[in-house]
Amino acid sequence: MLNQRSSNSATLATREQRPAGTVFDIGYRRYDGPREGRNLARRAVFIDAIRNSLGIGRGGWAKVLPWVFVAPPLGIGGIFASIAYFANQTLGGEVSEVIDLPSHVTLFAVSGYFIFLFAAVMGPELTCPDRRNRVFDLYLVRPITVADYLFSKWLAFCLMLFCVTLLPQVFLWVSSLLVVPNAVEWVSDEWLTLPRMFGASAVIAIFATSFVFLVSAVTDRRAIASVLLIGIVMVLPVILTIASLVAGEGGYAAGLVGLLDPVDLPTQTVVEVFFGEEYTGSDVLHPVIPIAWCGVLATSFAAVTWVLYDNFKNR
Amino acid sequence: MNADIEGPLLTADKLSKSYGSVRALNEASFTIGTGITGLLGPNGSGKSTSIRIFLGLLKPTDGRASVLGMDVSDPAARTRLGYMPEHDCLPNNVSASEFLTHIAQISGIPMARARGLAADTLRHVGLFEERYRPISTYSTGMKQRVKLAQALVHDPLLVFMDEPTAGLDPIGRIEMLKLIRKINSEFDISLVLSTHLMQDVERSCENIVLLDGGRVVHAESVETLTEQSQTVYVEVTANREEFVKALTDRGIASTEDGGAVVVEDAGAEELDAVRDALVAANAPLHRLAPSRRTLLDIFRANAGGRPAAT
Repeated sequence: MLNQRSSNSATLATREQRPAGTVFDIGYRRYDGPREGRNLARRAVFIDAIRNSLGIGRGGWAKVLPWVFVAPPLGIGGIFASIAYFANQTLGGEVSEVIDLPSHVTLFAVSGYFIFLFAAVMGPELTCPDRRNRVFDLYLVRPITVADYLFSKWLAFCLMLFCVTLLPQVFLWVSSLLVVPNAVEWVSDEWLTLPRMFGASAVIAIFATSFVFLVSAVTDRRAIASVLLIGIVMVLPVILTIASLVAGEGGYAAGLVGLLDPVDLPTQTVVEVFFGEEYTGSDVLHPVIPIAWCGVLATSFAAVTWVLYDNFKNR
Repeated sequence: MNADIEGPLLTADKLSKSYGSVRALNEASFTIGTGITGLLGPNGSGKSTSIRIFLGLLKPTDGRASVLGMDVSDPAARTRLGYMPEHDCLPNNVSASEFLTHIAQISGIPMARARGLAADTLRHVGLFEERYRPISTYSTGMKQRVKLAQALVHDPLLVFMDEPTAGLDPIGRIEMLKLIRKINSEFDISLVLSTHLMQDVERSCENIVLLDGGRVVHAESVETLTEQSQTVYVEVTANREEFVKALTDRGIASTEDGGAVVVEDAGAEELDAVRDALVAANAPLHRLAPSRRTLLDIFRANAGGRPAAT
């Protein structure tokens, strides 16, 4: 059906034909290079989403904002690593008796709120303006599907959140390595911490990304989506804490209430399961339940988001 | 023109689309070839629905639609399509250059070439100097040009333009129409214009698909369409009543328009009858002017007298 068009349909005047002093018009040049289709389109959306979430190529405020939320958890990890390093330099092998570093579980719980705030502020930026400015239509008239668009953005933001979640843990792990007298022995004892860190960070990133994308799909106003998300992150835990107090400590009710907090569920309950610690409701709920529930919720959020976007397409 | 395309660019085969009980398209069948084609019709005639089906944004309820030889459901069919929507569709916080580079990549152009194509396209639409400014600082006319540039940046074979002159002042409108003709004649890109503005179609289009109530009323070249609907104006200096009576006696219906007697759809036989009636009525002929009806006349006739924009 489609043959190769002539590579240059424009008439190019030669130097001799052109009168002196005229501006050289190169005319319209056909593109006869490769067209890479959906794969390149997906990659382009992915890279654009990464740049967007870091404010690259945007105004000054857009560049600063992500770091307001990324800096605290990274800073906490960095401070631990620095203290450990300097203490090790000063005190040598006795440093482990002086420095008592927090556990990975504690750091996940503390950094969790910053990670969710980062997600609440930066996540809607990836999708809301596309719908508000109706750039979304321009994506869909090209060789890309709704699923391609959503998954590329989702994957980009998930990767960002994974890095932001994992890095403080890596800093803490390095700090721990610096304060122990025998590093090799400590690594052989504690090697399981590494896959646990990666696994827990992945769960947090997947859950938070799906949650943020769902709320962002409800409105095309970025600010409203962010306020909604921050409201859920700040208010829901208070309500659930009251509910758990009413339900009393332990038992099914308290365990089930613990599964409803969108921040605590991935950043505390699931993390505690990963690190083999006791969690709210652990006396009655099998450890698989929080992880499975987290997976069910993330999948449901993603499915509802896809349905909403498919409806936007058909508007 | 478009030497690499064999057969029609677009084919609608008994295409239907229903929204609940509302039938937006009703077994519409037409083909669109190379050149500039106007998709014309009143509100609710099915223009936007047709375009959205061809762009893969809507699924037809029934029938088949293909673009560039591929079914519209295949994402690869959209590789060589461009679309300039009527509504705003531009991000605010990026430059035109960056936006076009991104859009070219979404269309499958590698990064190394996308930047060059973005700069070239912005030059063609007259925005080369302003290409690094944020789009939010552009005027309406400049934004319209960016919208056009994003439809062209990946060197498409066919571009859909939805009301391309909407919101432009008269000079901006003339420039946009010039640009549209240039895109077809110099860039060798075919265009489908969906518009209410018949003057735009008459000035720019070679072919027309006239839709009404989801059905295809006409699908042919503008030249043929206006030829088929010839109207003859006859002015006589005396014996006008006798001339009209002589026409009626010969079975020719006529109307009066100012001082002229108007004979609609005048073919060779009707012209012979006009000549004979003039002789029979002994009416001195002042002027006999075959006049093509405008698209507006045709549109009005098909729309049953509904008001139409000009």
